[in-house]
Amino acid sequence: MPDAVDLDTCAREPIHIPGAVQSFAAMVVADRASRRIVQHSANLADWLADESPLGRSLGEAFPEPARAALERALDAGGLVDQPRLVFSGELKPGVTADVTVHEHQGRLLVELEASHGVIGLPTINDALRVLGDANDIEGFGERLAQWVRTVTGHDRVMVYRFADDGSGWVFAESKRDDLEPFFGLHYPASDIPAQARRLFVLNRTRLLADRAAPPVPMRGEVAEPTDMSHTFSRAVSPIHLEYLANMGVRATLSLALVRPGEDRLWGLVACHHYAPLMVGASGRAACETLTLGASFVLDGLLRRERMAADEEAAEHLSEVSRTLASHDDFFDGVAASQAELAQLFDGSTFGVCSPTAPDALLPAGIAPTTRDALLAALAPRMGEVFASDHLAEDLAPIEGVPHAGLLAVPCTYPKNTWLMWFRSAQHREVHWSGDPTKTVTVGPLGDRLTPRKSFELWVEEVEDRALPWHPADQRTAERLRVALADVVYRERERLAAIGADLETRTKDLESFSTMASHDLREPLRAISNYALFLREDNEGLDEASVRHLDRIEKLIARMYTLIDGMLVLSRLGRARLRPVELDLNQVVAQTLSDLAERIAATKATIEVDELPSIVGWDTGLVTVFTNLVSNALKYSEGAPHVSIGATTAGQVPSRPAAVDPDDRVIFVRDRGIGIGPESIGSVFRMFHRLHPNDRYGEGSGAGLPIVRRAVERMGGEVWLESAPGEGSTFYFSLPEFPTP
Amino acid sequence: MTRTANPTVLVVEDSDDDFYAFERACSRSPVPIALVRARDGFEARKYLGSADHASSQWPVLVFLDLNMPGIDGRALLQEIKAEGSDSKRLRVVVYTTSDSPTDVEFCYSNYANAFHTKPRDFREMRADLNEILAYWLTKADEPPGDLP
Repeated sequence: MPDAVDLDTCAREPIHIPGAVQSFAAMVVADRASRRIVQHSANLADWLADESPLGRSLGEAFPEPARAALERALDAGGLVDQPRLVFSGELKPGVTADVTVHEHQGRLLVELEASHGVIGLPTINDALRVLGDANDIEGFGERLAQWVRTVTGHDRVMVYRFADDGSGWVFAESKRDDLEPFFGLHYPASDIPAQARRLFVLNRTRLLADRAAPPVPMRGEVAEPTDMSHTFSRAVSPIHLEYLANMGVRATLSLALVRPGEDRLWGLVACHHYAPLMVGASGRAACETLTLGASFVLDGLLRRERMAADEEAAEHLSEVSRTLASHDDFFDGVAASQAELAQLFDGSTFGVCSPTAPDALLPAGIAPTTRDALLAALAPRMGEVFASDHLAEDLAPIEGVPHAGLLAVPCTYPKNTWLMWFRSAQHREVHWSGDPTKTVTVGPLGDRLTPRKSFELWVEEVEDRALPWHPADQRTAERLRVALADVVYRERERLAAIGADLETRTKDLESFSTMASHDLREPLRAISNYALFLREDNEGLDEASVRHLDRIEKLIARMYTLIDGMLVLSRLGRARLRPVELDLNQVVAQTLSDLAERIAATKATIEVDELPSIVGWDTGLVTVFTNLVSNALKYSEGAPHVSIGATTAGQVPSRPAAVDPDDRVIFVRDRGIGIGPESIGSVFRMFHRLHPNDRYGEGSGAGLPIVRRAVERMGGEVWLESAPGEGSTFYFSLPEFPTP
Repeated sequence: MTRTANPTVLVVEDSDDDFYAFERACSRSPVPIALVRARDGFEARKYLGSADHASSQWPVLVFLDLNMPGIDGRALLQEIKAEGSDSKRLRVVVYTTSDSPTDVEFCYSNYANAFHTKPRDFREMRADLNEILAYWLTKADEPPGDLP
């Protein structure tokens, strides 16, 4: 036994090679190949006439008929890690024993123990039948505790279940009425160290017959200590003994619950007795059979539980998907399915965090500023479900989050959107019925090794943790994520269809415009010709006829302007954009020289600020400037005053929401007649004129629509500020063009 | 179709109104010409197929409108200028309302001898036409009558 063992070394303690056995048993270890005895427990004389058989053949140490039974078993083989009861009977006068043998790492380990009563199969049969009737895990636990207690007679039988983090809790208990209940007790993962868990999976039954009986050391020199993983009589760790002593427990039996096909400890049946209690080979076999059967029942229950949970979640999910799909606006859909969404995960608070979601959808207790901090922290994890029972540690400490746990399901559209479920920190209390340390001694390691201390430690560990998200919850969340992506996908398809349709319509409209304007020009040309022929062929027409011909020619000119506007507009839509490096100062200079005649005629003043050089579409820009400056020249009571300059969108408060504040903006400002608020919305409409013809010169009504089309083709937006009598400022944004 | 001793100018034009304007514009032509009108590509093809190269029926100049029903001006141009065609050396002036760069490019690529966009104003058109006629009929040399 190691001399100094403390809690730190506990996790490293080699408990599978204690070099001792419990006093209720004796052990003989032989080399497998030679069958020569290499080790035996110091108490062998109590069991066999041969007190010191070291070096002798294993069979020779046993009297007949035990010897024959043992040798038969050895010859038959199949004993590797599989202990087998090979003999039950007299070994020497007055000593009746059960002999169990198995092979491990080239050694044969023979264990001797007193024969006890046989536990009949009917008992096990009854127990399994009752277990099989359990409807849920809790009922299963209760029945298992009761039956194990019936079979073994321990004062207390507890059924533990382990969480993913390895911590455990008592979820079922059967005990003597006068004992304080341990039901609901939690303890941290460190209370059962990893190597102990591993041993439990290998050797699922673990007996301590009497904590107070000193262990019996092994005799015989061996190069490697004998690995007793698969023995039942292996001596127990001193730390575990101290823990039991602190509780006043004298005897224990532990049965591991492992789901079929798994190698992880799911739970443990822990039996405590306050006096020495031996459970013999038959009793242990009964318990093992019971536990094995129980693990199948358990597996069935867990599968059923999972299926039921999945089915319920699937129902909620399909309801949610239907609701979302039936709403054009995603957040309207969420609002409509809020109740379903809130029910998806037990004990949680639901809400939506998104820069575009209405605040009414925020999870309870989350302020908009907290939402922004959450979104920023989650941004790198976009696209994957985020689940944490300790948000501050797993994500970031975020101020104003009153919850410890978060399950967040991402949504790529609307952008940066997460559906969130919060869980508050666990507040667990166990109502101790008295002081569990009161009646017992506290060992050299202090009160750490007591259930209450364990519980306190666990409480400390989970203080700022929420109840963990169950794997089923995470599966549901993942399914929801896929469902959301599907909704988005369908939404995109719908939008794409609309887009394609719109594109077709735009193309149709453009080719219609082209055709219409060509076809309109032809008769117009003829009309114009005939009007002229009339004039030419009839010298000395009366005044009225001349006036009528004048009028006809004016109307023809206006018709031409309208048609030309339509053509320009349709061409702008079809023109191929060839962005080049442009000095806007030169573009404006060219525009102004094209308009020189009209500028001179209207005595206009034109100021141009220093303009930047950009990568842009020259035809589009000339079109825009020509139309905006013409407009400014036209709609003015006195001599027009026009100024042209550049700024950034961020500097223009009237910019539309879609314009990036960093975009470059060009403006054309006049001191003209201005536009009233009732008309501002319609100035960019095709062929919509605000003024009667002749009032401010003839207009096609296509100028501003042309400007808008050109700016839009350059990826920008155009808007204006205006007030009647004060003039108008037209702005257009020019987002960066990719460099040619 | 008329026959005169004056040099023949073939006008391929589907619109009666436009042909009327064309005729009227040429009526004051400094060079006497005989206008022959084809209403579309078919008529033009038929005329060129039957006219004697050596006679005065063979046009000295063709005015070609582009947008016509049936065989349009573009197809007719390609036919006239096709490799091996006996009308290959005909001088073809495209005279159209179109000012589209695509059309200009197409016509010159198919060996049109000139491309003119009809001016909108008749007076301008008359002035233009007379200049064009004067140029082709009096300044430019005629292609040789014999085929290689």
